[in-house]
Amino acid sequence: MAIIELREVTKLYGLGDAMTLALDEVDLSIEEGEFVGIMGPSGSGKSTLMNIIGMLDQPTHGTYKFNDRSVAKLRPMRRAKIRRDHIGFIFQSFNLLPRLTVLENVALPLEYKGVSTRRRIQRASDILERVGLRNREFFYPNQLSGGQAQCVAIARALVNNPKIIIADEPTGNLDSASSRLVMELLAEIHKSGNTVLMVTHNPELTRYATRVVYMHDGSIIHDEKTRLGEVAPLAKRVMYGVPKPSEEDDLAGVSVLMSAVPGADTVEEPVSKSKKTRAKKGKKAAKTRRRKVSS
Amino acid sequence: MSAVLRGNIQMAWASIKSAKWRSGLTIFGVVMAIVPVLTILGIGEGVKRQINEQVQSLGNNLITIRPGVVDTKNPLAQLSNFSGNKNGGTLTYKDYQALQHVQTVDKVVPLSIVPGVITVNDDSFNDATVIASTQDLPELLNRKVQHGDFFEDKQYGRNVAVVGREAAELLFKEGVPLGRSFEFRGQTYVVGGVLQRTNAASLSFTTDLNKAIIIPYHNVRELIGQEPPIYEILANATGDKTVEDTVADIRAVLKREHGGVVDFSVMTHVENLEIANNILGSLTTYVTAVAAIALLVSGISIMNIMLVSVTERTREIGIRKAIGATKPQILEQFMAEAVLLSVTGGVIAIIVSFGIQYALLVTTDLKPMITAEATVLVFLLSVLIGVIFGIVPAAKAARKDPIEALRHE
Repeated sequence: MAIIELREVTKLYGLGDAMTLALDEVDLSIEEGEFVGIMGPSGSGKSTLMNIIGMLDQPTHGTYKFNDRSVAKLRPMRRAKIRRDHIGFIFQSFNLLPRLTVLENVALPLEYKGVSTRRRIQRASDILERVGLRNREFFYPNQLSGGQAQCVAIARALVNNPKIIIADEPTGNLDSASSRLVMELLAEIHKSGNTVLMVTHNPELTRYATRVVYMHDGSIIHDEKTRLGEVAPLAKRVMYGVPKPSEEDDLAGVSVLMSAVPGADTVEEPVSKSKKTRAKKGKKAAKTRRRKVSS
Repeated sequence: MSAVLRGNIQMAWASIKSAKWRSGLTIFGVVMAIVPVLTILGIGEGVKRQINEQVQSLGNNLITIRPGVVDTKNPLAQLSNFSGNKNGGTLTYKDYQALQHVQTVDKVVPLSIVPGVITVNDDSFNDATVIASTQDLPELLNRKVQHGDFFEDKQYGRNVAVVGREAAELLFKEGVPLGRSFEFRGQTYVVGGVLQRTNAASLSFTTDLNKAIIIPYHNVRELIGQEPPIYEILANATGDKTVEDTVADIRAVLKREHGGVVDFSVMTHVENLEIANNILGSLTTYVTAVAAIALLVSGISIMNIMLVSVTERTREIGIRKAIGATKPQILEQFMAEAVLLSVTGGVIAIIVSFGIQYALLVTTDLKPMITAEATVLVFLLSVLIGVIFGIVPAAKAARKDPIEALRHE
């Protein structure tokens, strides 16, 4: 059963001439137990998609169903409670509260749930044990390394036994050793049956995913299943067949990696099914892609 | 207490401690606003109790005649009458004599303050109060001579004095200095009696006789060569009519003596003490008004500090919302901090005020009373300040968009 279902989800920001189309009629279904990697250049809408899935934001159009319940009908307090109980967030910059100890940070979602002090301290301690940081319980975030801080953030995300973990570039600020540590932890969480959504720029990290979704200009342009332990096929192609960056690409702000992505390059195989989007892409793509293909 | 509320209080403490100077100054403002109010309430309560005790001990038969007109509509103007026109002004020996013949008056005594220096064994006392009066004074005041005897008018040739308890301690370093002598205006006086302790209420018009040395009125006429100026005449009613009727009779006689001019005031003892209440009430009102302004300023200070705190912690608010905090929970968090600031100020103010009142009790004649009602009122007031001035910053924090907040540096 799809735990997350988005149908023609669109997000617009701003007004009039300053309006930005952050998500363009995105359709996405995520089954329970999947580890979905989300890749795309900056500005492709990855974070917006994560914010909407995580109920931090609401779509301008389209429907979003979480556990087969429409989110649009939920009040803000109800959404906050779902976020608290069913969704765990992991951020690139860890986002631990500096005035609270590691234990207090991890226990915070339980505090909002109204769990007694004794029980939430015990639960937080158990989770920290799971991530291997029980001996740092009474440290403050500024006393931890990057990897440790991210592990604490993961512990906080897990403390309420959420259905879904949303990780927005969890290894973005980490060195390779810490990154591996964090990813192994996420893999373990996935193995335990949790659903994980992870935004990443690093194709190597798709080894941990069972499915990879590629985004560009607010749309999902490619969606492929992948095998655990292997880099996703498209990401591999992009990684090893990387074209040389051109001045035009740099000026256009186009990611070199995405230049080689099929959906980003061709007009004949659009992923979006809507005619409107096809027409829009046709016009836009014709202008943009001709430039890229020539490079 | 819910887990969230307890957690909020702990986090509020942590936040207050992390900005010690800022929090300390804000708390100081609250303390400075509350201390005067609580102290004046304590003083007022003490004075009320003293007044009640005095009324009970002196009875309501006592009538006080003083020079000058008491303006009952302007309580603070009565303060000039409070210190007393003790140089006499418009009361004379003739008034005293005339009152002796009023049928509804039982006894009358004049009171005059005689300036001078008292010398005891080469020690001089400039601030001792020497009062000249007549033999009926103790009876009028419903007081006895505890040791020795009060002088009699027929003994006016003798230089004998009666001292109050505190005067005895001050001059002679003992409580019963019978037979001891002192020099006053070139004359040697012998202590013939010690007056029983009287309950003098602060802010009342009655002289504190515990600190006075009383000498025969008729002696003073000989001493200074003229009638001593009278600052007060005490009288009591016979009981044949009401006290108010006696007051009316006294007024009529004195008006006649003063050529139709009413430049004196005649009051029952109860009226006397009510004036003290009025003065106190006015003082309390003025102090409370000033304190209210100070409280408003301290409340605005709390609001200002909280707005700064909310802005500084925008990102933290975003994180909390991302992990599931609801708007009411964010509101509660910042309200807890504001209320904790004001309540801390309130508690410190209560302690400081208690200290001030105790110091006043030990060092002055005032007897402040610390009441549970006043303390609880002040505590609730401090909570209210925190709630009223914390609601705007807390609401601002609760309304923040989590995505925008997470982007904040």
